[in-house]
Amino acid sequence: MKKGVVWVLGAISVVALAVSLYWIFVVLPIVSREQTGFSQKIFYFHMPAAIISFVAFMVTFIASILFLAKKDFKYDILAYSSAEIGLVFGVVLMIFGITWDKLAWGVWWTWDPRLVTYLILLFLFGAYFFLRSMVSERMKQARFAAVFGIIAALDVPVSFFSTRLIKNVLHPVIFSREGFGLDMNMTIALLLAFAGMTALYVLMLMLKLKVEHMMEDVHVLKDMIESRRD
Amino acid sequence: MTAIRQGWAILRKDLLLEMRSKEVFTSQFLFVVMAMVIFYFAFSPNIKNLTTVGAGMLWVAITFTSLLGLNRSFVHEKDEECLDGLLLCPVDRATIFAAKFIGNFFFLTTLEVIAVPIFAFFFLTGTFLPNLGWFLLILLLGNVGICGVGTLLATISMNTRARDLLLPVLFLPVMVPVIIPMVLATNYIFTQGESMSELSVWLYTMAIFDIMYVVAGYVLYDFVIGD
Amino acid sequence: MNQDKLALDVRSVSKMFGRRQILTDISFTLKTGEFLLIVGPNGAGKTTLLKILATLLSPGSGDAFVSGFSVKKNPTKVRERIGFISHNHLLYRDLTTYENLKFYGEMYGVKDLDARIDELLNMVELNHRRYDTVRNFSRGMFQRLAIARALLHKPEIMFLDEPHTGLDPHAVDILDGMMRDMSSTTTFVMVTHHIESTLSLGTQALILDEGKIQYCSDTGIDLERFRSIYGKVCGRGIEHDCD
Repeated sequence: MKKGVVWVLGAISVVALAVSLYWIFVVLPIVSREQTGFSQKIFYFHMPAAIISFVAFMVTFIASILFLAKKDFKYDILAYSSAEIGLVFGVVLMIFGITWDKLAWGVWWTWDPRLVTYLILLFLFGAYFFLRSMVSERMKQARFAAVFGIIAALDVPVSFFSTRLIKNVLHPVIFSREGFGLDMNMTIALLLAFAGMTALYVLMLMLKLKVEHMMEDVHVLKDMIESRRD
Repeated sequence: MTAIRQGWAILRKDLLLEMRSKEVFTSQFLFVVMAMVIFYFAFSPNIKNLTTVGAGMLWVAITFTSLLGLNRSFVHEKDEECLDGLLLCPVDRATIFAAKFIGNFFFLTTLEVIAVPIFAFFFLTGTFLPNLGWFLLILLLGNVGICGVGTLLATISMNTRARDLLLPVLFLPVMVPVIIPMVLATNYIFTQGESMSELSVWLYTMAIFDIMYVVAGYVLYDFVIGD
Repeated sequence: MNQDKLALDVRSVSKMFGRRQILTDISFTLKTGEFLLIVGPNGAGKTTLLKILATLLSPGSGDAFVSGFSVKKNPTKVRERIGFISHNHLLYRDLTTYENLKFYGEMYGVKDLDARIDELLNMVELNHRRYDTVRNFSRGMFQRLAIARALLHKPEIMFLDEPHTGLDPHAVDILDGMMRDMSSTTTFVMVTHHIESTLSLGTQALILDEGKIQYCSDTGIDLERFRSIYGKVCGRGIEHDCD
């Protein structure tokens, strides 16, 4: 991996996130759209984080299929690395979401379809890692995880649809049929945050992959040393 | 032809083993009836008409009971490594999935044939009877979903260190999106009575899940059974 | 390349469990009708090799052809042609003798199944226990029934994983008799500890150690070389088990 790429990605994410913070808190006025008020500012980090975590789980889905097709461990490493980062984004997102709930609607938890979908998603990928920890044979671990990763990812779009069946939708719809519900400055802040988070995800994934590949090498060396000792 | 003969042989063997020991059915039956009794004492102090929470009670009882059966469906194979004997046979892994899936479906349905009337006798008034057909359809779709993904996940968990402990961890989050439309649709039938307009959305959702899970199980089974 | 005459054609098979190398670059061939003995110390990878040939494990890399069919690409064709006997009897405890054989017979698509079951039960002397559930069988009876189970579909190649372990003398007689009777028509591959008692059966031999082939005969066992390599690998003479 080229060191330059890491620095560039790091710089992009730091600068973009910093500028977007400036935009969110300094440039943008406090909007009083409906009853949202100041808490609405969570949105600019909330929505990109949501999209990134979905992307991360889709990467896991595709990498899982590729692993089953090719039986190459690099796809397995990609699958669980991306899932882990997706889970981190997901947990942060949940904290954002719950805070927003409390500030905007006065309750910590609502049975909003997206919240429910997300909760299920977090449990699914939590189970994914629990499953991995329960299998020690490397090939079997990767195969089982890939199968479960595929099922978990298949669950996401449909579970989103099925939770929509619950009435009482509180979640604001940003992209409605009437058009884009944001003005120029809001769009800039959102896009900056999105660019920053995307760079952050790619950076984290690259570093994570590097670490995991090194770990694999370490284990191979460890086993070689052990078998010498026997 | 070969696949049908082999699938039937596996299915018949599993039925024979269960008929001889009756261990799964007995424990499931006790579990499901005891769950109903506990539900009664949990809900009756605050809720006048238990029909309003009937759908929830029914599906919680069935989902958790099904876990017992799914876990047991591989115990016979794990004893004495019989699974190796099965895997040595010239049989498609997908055929094993199909046979195990149908077997689990049969066991769960048999349980419901006895448990659901008891449930109705305890908690329901006659309001759902005009829609009995729809109710049976929901049960059928629910069973297909539970057994489709359950057979696949039970095979995975039996092959891990955690054995049967892992199944609930994998199975429940995967099932939640199916349980939601199941409960909503059943609730609709228990409490609404007449208009069936909203029912179709839930039935479609369940059908989509069912197809997805059964196909996924059939296609992916080769990767989870054996070495 | 006349592959059809080869019972086994193993081409640089390697296998790892986790990150541990179990088999390294195993290659050998075996002609139809031969009797191959596989010996080696514990953990040499003998059982793993046998399981790969029997399609119970997939080869990590390389491929093996059993009766001309690849264990990777055509496992079902391989499974139709092989029989497998291990220390596990692979029988369902709550089924009767007859039901166990009937189940496996149907899985293999055996023709005239009932007649075949009669024949086998007579051979392993279990006809009088035909309708008993096997739960209460003695170990020897389990093993005899396991032999019948493995022979149901008249396999071309028999894989045996330490079949003598834990057998009573009666079952040993039946097993040895079966192997002698069938050795003219069937290829045998046997993993064994008791090398001295089985050496008379073998026509070829293979010594494995740490996942590598140390000795592999191709035109009959060269007893001198076999003894010396066995001594080196197992640390004792062939009158002792290699453990």
